[in-house]
Amino acid sequence: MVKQINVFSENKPGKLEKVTKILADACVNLRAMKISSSDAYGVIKFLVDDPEKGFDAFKKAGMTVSLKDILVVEVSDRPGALNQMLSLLAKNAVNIEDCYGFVIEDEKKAAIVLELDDPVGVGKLLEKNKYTIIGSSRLYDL
Amino acid sequence: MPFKSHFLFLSMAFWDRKIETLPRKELEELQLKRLRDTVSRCRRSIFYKNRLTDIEETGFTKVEDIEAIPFTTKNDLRTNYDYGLVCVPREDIIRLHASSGTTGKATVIFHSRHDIDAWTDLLARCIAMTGARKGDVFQNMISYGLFTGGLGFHYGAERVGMMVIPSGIGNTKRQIQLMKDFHTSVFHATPSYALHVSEEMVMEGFDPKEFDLRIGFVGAEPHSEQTRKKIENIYDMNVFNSYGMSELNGPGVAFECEEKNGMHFWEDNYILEVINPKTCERLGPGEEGELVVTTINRQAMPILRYRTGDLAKIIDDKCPCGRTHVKISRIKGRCDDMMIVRGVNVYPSQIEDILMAFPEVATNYQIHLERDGALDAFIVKAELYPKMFDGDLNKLKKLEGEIAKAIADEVVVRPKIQFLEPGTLPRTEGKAIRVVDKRGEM
Repeated sequence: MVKQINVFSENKPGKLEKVTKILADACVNLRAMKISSSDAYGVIKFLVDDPEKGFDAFKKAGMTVSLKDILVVEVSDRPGALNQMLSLLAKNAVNIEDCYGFVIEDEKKAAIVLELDDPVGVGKLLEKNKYTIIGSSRLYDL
Repeated sequence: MPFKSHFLFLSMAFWDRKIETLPRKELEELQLKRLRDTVSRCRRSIFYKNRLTDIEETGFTKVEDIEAIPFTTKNDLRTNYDYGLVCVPREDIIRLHASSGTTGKATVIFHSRHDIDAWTDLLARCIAMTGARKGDVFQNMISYGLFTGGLGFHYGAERVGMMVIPSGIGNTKRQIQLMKDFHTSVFHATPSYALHVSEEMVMEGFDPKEFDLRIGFVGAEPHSEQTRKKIENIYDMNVFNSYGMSELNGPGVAFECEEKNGMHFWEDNYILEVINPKTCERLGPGEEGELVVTTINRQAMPILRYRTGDLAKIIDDKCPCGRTHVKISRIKGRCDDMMIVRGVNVYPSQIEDILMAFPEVATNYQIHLERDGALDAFIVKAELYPKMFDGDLNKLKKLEGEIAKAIADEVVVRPKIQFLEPGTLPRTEGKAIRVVDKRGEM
């Protein structure tokens, strides 16, 4: 299962810089990131090439951090592709907690990151419907 | 996992069985005798000489006759700085301590050899009462120096026969190293520092439960029952509450026995009264009010009917431990700790009690009061406990609501909760700053 690093962070100038410096110093490379914020604080989410290493680096730095299983789905890089995938999930009453995406340039594909209650079950549903789930080895080697 | 031998030693442990279990009648006779002696002695000081002209202590027939004597306040101590309350020749004084007061002039307390000896004995009593004993390794993680907490416990622990590590406060990494290398089994700390040490242990990859700690003494800051439980759970140890203040020697005035249900107030050394701080009317057992204390076993600087400013009540029950000395509740706060938020009286201890019941909240918090238009902004800032964080922002928002509601249910006014990263709030080496009131500044 692909893991995302969630970092609790207060909303303060320079905070994101400090957080990303921890990853930089640990030589951890970013695939994608997203900030979910709610006035005074938020959660910064990182998809990286080596989540365990990133997690340890944050922990060592005294950050409040957790690793979360997430689902990364491949969709083609064309209009309507994301919507098509989401309508499948909607039909099956899947609730999405958070979602973001990034383009895999070499492959003319997009990767959609989904935070869900049941990533394993939803992964099976998507695979049954001919979607490719990007596993950790492929993602981390991108 | 190695077995910790808590309960093996938790048998009835008296330091001075006779005095600790003295029948009430005899205890009161002793108090009356010592009260008369103390009042006579006080006449030797510049301050009390003129104050006691109307008092005839030889006519006192019961302890309650103490009510004829006027109160002594902190301000009296300040204005009679330096030797105004001293009753012995200067060369009979062997120690000076000063209060941790942050405003105004320090209050200075003097001790004769007898006073240090009696104080040490009280601490030995307190320490032995918890089951700590000769053979234990005692790490005294509290300020030494003018503050009474360090030397007071140091002397008491030595008298009991523990091996004392006078580590003082701060340099947390070294504290942990000492604890590990010398198998510390008993420590003394402020509650906030005890929690800070545990956080540091976790950061360094240790489990606080794996240390040899079995008994903790916490005091010098008012704290809640929940905080005690938190410290006990984190370290897997027994934690005992301590009460004292430098004006009354320091720690050792009252202390919890193994029942952990109230602190025995050593009535052979002190006379305790509880009063309504506004009307000065005397209150009965179970009624919460200000503690007023008279020292009756001190030579150099006895103090009569001292207004402590601490709020608590007398717990009126016969303690199963067999001690006859009266018990007081946990200190609710100081008279001057009370915050008035949107017209409602709120004590920091009430907030703390609720916060510490939530496992997601770490050990450090601060209450901020600001002016928000006509209203008071009431913000509770709490550090998160990293182990409980699962990365879900929605859960945190939900938790905010739950905590705010729990506080509103208790104190009527609803605060805004704001989570902080661990380590954000200032770690004080002395007493933690729990309330930041900026309403006057805007």
